Amino acid sequence: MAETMHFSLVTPEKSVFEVEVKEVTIPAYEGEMQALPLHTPYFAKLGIGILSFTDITGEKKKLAVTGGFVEVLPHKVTMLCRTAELPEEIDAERAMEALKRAKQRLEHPDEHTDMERARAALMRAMTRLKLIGKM
Amino acid sequence: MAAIHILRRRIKSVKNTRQITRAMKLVAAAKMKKAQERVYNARPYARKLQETIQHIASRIDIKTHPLLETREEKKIKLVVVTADRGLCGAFNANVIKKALAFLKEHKENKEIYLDFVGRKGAEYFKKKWDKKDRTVVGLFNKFDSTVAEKIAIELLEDFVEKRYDAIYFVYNEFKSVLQQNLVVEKLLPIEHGEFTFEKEDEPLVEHIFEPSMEEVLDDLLPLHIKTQVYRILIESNAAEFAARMTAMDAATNNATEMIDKLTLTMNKIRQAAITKEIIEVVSGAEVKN
Repeated sequence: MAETMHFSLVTPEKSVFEVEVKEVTIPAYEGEMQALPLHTPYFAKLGIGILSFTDITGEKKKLAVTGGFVEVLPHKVTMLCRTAELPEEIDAERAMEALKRAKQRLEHPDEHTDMERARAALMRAMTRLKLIGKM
Repeated sequence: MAAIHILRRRIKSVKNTRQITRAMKLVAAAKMKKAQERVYNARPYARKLQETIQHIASRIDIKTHPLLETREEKKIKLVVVTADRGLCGAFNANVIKKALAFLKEHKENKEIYLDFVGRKGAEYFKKKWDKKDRTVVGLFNKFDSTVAEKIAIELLEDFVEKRYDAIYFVYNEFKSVLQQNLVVEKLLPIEHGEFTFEKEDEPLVEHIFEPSMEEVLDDLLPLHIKTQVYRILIESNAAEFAARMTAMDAATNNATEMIDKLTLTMNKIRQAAITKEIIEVVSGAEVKN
């Protein structure tokens, strides 16, 4: 049985990862799912959340992703993310501020507030902070 | 002799021109480097996106989606991507030539409308072609993905509302600094691999979709189009700078060559004048003796 599969993660700005992995945990649209080698073909929209994967050395890596798509094939996982950030790339202060702003918008909405967008902003900020352990 | 000061003036003017072309070359080189990086960074995403669509198409018959619907091509649109400015060799001329060839080939049995990105193409076809739609100029002054997205959304609307049966692009693809690839590409309907149950070593099982196939495709296909438009525009942009750099480099070299030639002629004339003067002096002295 194959023990690893190819994992590629790309964003519009760059190709982030092209590695062999043992497993991937994906924040899919309707909840988290894990893909192991020989998973049945699967295609999903991504939600906002934390993505993690274990490479062949057993090291685990985590990233914050905000939307996109994932395609799982038996030997290959391809992720097309709108953004993907490693913990060291996250600006804690900015995320904190975004969180505050989004919270305020949701608590005191006026007629211009796009609730859907505010909620997504809140989710993004929370995910980022969670990834760096500040929440 | 009278010719000397004229030559001197010409040399000076060519020198000035050389200074300008050299500066333009340096500017183009710097801008190209940035544009080139952007192209290289954007390519993997665009390619992966296309691959996944092909994967889906090879397993499931998705021809029913509005963006994949092939209609008989009666009324089509060609988007001509050129630069806003000249001084970049045959860059614009090549695109226009290709567009003309496309028009010639298809105008018999199809109605073709033109869209323009970049001033040069729009100017050329101003009087030559009357079926025009939109023109976007000055796009690259402040360019990011939202600009491309706007164009893509308009084209998607065109296609979905059946104003056009197909949408093509003609543009320069950035291949290397010295080479641009002229491409005619079909944007819509989306071309995908045929629906086959053969090839590949793994058993072909249909994808499981989440939340549902329709919802995934409704998001995925427009994203694909937006990404393609973005990629086409930045490719053309990088190619434009590369072409300008090469053209300006050639111009600088030509100017240098010209200066050398003119200097040589000038020196020859000057020397001839001196020789003549010496002869005059010598023969004058001989007469005296």
